[in-house]
Formats: sequence, structure tokens, C-alpha cells
Amino acid sequence: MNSKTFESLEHRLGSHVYAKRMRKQVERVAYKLTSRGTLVYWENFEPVYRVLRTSLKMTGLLKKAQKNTMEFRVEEIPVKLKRLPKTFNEYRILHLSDLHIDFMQDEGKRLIKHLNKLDFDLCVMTGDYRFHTCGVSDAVIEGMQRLMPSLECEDGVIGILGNHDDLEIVPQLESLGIKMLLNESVPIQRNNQFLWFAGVEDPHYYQTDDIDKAVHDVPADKAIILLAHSPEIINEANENGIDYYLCGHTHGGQVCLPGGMPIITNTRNKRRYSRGSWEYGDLKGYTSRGTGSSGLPIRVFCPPEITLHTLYIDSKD
Amino acid sequence: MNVSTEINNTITVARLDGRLDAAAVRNHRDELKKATEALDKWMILNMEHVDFIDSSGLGLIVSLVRNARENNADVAISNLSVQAQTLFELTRMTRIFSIYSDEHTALESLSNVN
Repeated sequence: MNSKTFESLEHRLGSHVYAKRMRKQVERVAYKLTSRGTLVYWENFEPVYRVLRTSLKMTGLLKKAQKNTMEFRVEEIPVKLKRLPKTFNEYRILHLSDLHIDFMQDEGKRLIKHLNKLDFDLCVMTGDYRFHTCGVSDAVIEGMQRLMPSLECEDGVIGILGNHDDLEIVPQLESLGIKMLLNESVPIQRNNQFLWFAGVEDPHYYQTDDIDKAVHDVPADKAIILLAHSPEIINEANENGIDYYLCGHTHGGQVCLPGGMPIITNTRNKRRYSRGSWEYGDLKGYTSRGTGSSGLPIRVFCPPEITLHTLYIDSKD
Repeated sequence: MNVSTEINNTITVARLDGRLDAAAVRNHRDELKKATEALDKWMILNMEHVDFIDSSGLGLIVSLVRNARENNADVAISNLSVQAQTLFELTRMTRIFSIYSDEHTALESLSNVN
């Protein structure tokens, strides 16, 4: 990382969004170092996690809840899209979200074992590679480095940032071979047909998402899959003609009531968008329960997931 | 990054040397925080030899100012590089700091401030 890298990030994001991102990152670090301020976000509520941890320990449920964070479930999601090009029929997308890989138990070995059994054409990652919201990222990069061989596929790996990730991590992730989208888009080609992937900056904490810029280069008639960290811009996505919206952030609640009812979803959305498949107007979407865990790394009635989306042409009219 | 401090009457000068990034924050935050809590009046952060600063480094400086002000003291900055100046301006942090072109000017100016 050097001053040239900052110039490149500013060029990619645009000065206004870049400045907003950096200002909020500075404020977040200052808040963490002084432990005071006005940042009211669940990820900053460490006292809540301490109470929850103590309660679970006293009831003997802590170990089981910690073990649950490694009980990955592979979710196979078929989805029909009206504008999908013919050559992308049965296209398989591996979707990982909220890896928080630097705090994953067993350094991700069990996750890698699962991934090595899967067959997919492309991998997308919808943000939150790290556990803490600021600080050194060495362990994150080491974790991602261990993970990368299991993500090898024909069309590579595309990623976006989440609310736990700082901009400074972008060049490090790109050096591992991940194509990071910062309010940008990229086409995937099969024969002479294209499927576009647009990726926006974090719409939750940093609120530096710019969907207009992200889809700017996409021809009007082409199918677009949007990667966003959280489901908080579904209205904008619907208005921009997005075909399929992939996100995470909510962890599906992470700690849920029996039946998987989340207690907290940490988004401004209605609860029906906090996990699994959903529709909003013409827009179809999917919110991952997350592959890793954050806050207090436990899971209750909400297993971590590895998602495989298979795309099909929706021929009915 | 290395930090050396020197007390000049009521002013503490902290000279930073190297990259002011997340690793430097991890290694030096406690030492610098303690220094701001023990200030008589002013701390000057001389950044002449800081060749790179990121959002973590700037976040540390903002936290030092807040600590100092809670203790009725303050932090000024001198010798910003072009890269650091750009980051300070971009994040509008120039509005909350007293910034001087060099350490000598900062010392002269702050010696006259009550």
C-alpha cells in the first residue's frame, strides 16, 4: 500500500465517495481507540456480547453454540431469470459471504474441505472478510490465501467490500486474484453472450454504494447480477433493472429462536429480506446467512452456509 | 514506525519515523495515549519522516487529539508530507488540528499560546 494505491482507489470510486469512505474509516478507528462517540451499530455493542456469552456459559450452551459456527450447510438455490443469455443456462455461482476468516475456528480447514467437493463456474463474495472493523489485516489475508485454491473455477472470483472491511484491504485481496468491484461492473463471456456482474460499496455502515455508477457500463438489454453487502438497497436495485441481487451481512440473525426466527437482523430491511430467497417487485434476490460468524462467534438455530446458485432461463411469459 | 519524544518547556515533541498504518497503531497507540494524558499543554507531532499514512494512522491522531483535549491539552501537527496533507484535507481533518509547516515554527507559535 502506498500513495499511488490511494490515487488508484480514488480514481475508481470517484473523489466524493472515496472521501466519505476514508472519513468514516478514520472516525471509526478514532472511536475504537477512545471508546466513545456516537457510533450506534450492533457490531460495536461489545457489552451485549459479554452478557450473551456469560448467559450461554451458565446454561452450558456455549460450547455447542461455538461448535455450530463450523456446521456449514450447502444451500442449493435454483433461480430462473428472464433475461439470462442461453449460454448461461445451468451456470453455477458459489456465493460466500461474511467469512470473518481471521476468527474462523480451525483456520478454515473444514470450510475448505466442503468447498473442494463443489463444482461451480464462478465464485462471488459479498463482503466482510475480516472479524474486527479496523486494525491490522495480516490474519485476514493469510486466511484468504489458504482459501483461494479451493475457489478455483473457470470464471474466477469476484468480491465486494462489507462494513467490516477497510479500503486498504482492496489491493491485498486483488493480489490474491480476487476481482474487487467498487461501484463497478464486469462482464462474464460465454461464447458470444455476456452476463454482467455489478458490485457496490457497503450500503450499511459506510453507505458509499453507488448503483448508478456500478451499472453505468452495462448495456441496457443485458442481464445483471448485483453484489451488495446487505439487502438495504433493494429498491434502488429494482429501479435499476437488476435481475438477481446477492447479499449477506445479516448472518440470518446468527442467534435465532427455534425455527430460525432472528432476534436481530442488523439491517433497515423488513425481516423477510434477512435470509434466503426473496422477491421485491421484478427483482429476485438472495440473502446469505453468512459463511463465518461475527460479534460473539456463536450460532443458535442458524447454521452457517455455503450457497450454490444455479441459473436457469425463465422462458414463461 | 519509531517514536521518539522530547520535552521542550511545556511542549512535548513526538517525532514519528516510518509508516503510520494499522501495524504502527497497534504498536504505538498505548505509548502515545499515555504521552497525551501526561501533557503539560501541547504536543507537536512531527511527521517529517512519516512516508505513508492510512486511515488507521489518521484515526490514531484524531484519538490523540481527543485524549489531549479531555486533559486540557492539545495536539498540533508539523512537517506533513504531500500524501499526508492530501489525506488530512480529503477527510477534512485540517479543520480540527493546528498544522504547521515545520517543528520550529510550531514551537515558536505554541510557546506564545497560553
